[in-house]
Amino acid sequence: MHPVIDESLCKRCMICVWVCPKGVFEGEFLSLLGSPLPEVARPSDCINWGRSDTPCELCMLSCPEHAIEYVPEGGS
Amino acid sequence: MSFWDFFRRERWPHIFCPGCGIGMVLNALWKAFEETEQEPEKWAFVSGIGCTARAPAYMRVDSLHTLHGRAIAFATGLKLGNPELNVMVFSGDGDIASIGGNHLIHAARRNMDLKVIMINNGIYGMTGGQLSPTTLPGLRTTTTPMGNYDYTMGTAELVAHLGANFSARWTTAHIVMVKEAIKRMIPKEGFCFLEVVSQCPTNFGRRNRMEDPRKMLQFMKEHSVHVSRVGQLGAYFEEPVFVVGTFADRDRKGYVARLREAGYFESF
Ligand SMILES: Cc1ncc(C[n+]2csc(CCOP(=O)(O)OP(=O)(O)O)c2C)c(N)n1
Ligand code: SF4
Ligand code: SF4
Repeated sequence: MHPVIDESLCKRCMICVWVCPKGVFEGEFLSLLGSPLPEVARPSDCINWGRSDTPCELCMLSCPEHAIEYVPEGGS
Repeated sequence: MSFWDFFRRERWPHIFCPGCGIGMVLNALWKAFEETEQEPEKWAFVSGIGCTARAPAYMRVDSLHTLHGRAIAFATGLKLGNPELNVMVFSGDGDIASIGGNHLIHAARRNMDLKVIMINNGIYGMTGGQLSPTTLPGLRTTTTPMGNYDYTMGTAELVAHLGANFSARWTTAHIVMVKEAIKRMIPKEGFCFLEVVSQCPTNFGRRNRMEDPRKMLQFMKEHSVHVSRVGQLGAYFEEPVFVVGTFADRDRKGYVARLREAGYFESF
């Protein structure tokens, strides 16, 4: 499993970039008025990669918009 | 139960600002409900006024959006009217600890069977960022532009001292512990209180050079100490420090159980 971001929900706060211990996300915070969408830059570094369960759920729990969910490898 | 079974997808995205910690606590709440297999129909949520107090409007549960500061008073009435119902209060620090402080004290003293989640963002978020009793010393708010001179109120410590069955404090930088604390509260009788220190980038962060929500999370993480290291009254609160952990975990009889023993509910 690996995280994907729902573009229509994300408010570009970049908390996912801060919280991930594996550096899966990449993104730049410009201001509260708007930043570019963060990206799931290195999905295969995710702790959940290659598993069918999700022992790490930090980014899903930490996204204030609930814009992150986990999908099987290669999904979107 | 998926997230969208518990929250109303048609009302999403919610009104909270980008990076606001309230949404993080909503995730933890849902996850705790899911892992303990709670049925939302058996719960009612009560809130007062404020940004945090908007949250129950997004949940697929019965909810009461009440007067500022009076959430615990309404919740007490609801619980005594229907003791089978699980009642949770979800509101802000201004609502619960400031204007509603007296209700909090006496509900905790009675060990009233309520679960209370208080989101402590250190200010009055909705009204523009004024000082609240939970603002840390030295930090700037709209009403203390030179920095706060007050000492901070230790709400979780207070509730523990009053004899409540459960009292804990965590921050949104410890989101897994927030979830675990909610799971611990759910099956308990009596008064259960969880304070979650949270970031308000818009009205707090912006005035304290922490507009980036990640800076506020980092600040909370770095300024947290566990209660086992400093003791119950370890930090009265000269410096910006968050004492986190569980302050009380007891099994005293709740108010409803005591009333039931006295035959109160049969008298109707
Ligand atoms: C009786 C009364 N006094 C004052 C207000 C104005 N007021 C609305 S929200 C609020 C503060 C809310 O702060 P808090 O509970 O910390 O919630 P937050 O917005 O920070 O989540 C105040 C003072 C009010 N609505 N009613
Ligand atoms: S935490 Fe959520 S809302 Fe914030 S940037 Fe990441 S995906 Fe977007
Ligand atoms: S004003 Fe602060 S507490 Fe209110 S929604 Fe915005 S960030 Fe959250």
